[in-house]
Amino acid sequence: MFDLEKAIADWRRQMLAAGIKTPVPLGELEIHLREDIKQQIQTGKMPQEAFESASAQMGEALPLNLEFKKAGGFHGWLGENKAALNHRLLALLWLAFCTWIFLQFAYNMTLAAMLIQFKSIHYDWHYNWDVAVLWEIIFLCGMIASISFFGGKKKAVWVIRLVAVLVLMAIVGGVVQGSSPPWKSSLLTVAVTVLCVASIWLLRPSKLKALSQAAK
Amino acid sequence: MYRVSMIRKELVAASAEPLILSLLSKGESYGYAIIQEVKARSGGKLQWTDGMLYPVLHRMEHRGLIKSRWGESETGRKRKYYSLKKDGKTAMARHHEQWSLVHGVLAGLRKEQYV
Repeated sequence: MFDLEKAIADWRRQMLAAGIKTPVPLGELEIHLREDIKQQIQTGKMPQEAFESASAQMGEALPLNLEFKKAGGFHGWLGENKAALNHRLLALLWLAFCTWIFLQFAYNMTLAAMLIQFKSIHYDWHYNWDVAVLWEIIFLCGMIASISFFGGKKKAVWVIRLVAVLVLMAIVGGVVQGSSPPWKSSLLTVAVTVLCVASIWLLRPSKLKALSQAAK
Repeated sequence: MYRVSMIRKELVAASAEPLILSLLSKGESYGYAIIQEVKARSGGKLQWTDGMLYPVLHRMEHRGLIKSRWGESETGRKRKYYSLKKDGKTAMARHHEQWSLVHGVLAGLRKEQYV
């Protein structure tokens, strides 16, 4: 004998196997399925016939999951339009850069502290703690601002632009003085310079204002 | 007698957003009711795969055109109700303008054929 609840449970399992895992879409689809079955039974159909018709009308699990992914998956996650996509990519790049430099400074500071503690270096060696701590604070602010900007908080743009200006000044200052940045590759220096200039240009206040007006 | 065939899937997909926005402009509604109303208004010619409505609704919600809330039906059954947001009204007006333009061009061309 046909068991409607078992059939719905099997349908749920098929959907789960296809990847529709989040409770909201699957719950919503099940509510729809049950409503359709109920309506069809009320028009005189047998439960099995009603279930088969309703589940067929619901669509196959894999294409459905693909559509849900498009709606709220990676595409939705990155941003609906080109401007939002650019902003989120910039936020991700800044997060990666700030995190990397933050960790590098943290590593260098730890190493310096250990060397000083074990007195395995010459006494005239000097580690510039003030500058290192200042950069750590700047990159920490950059990390927090990138996360906020990725989440859509436009005010975080000011911090990202400030960090970009400071990094750009440090690179230019380093080139003028002949000192090297915390990384060795010159290609990376070019990439970071491009990131700074692009961020300062793309996140300028007039552009953001125009974008928010267009969105309205 | 002239008979309207089932509408092509490309047109069904393109018309989904304006139809949903227009239906929701009459008041909040839920997935099953939206599908039934579209079916009834098109005489069954405009048929969506039921499940495909929800990714469209989620995308529209993500874009800030509509909002949703969980509620209960008259029989106590759980339902997710969707309603129009301010940006949704603007998007609906834009859709109406564009579809009216396309309809106007088509109607004009059709009229010329019979002159």
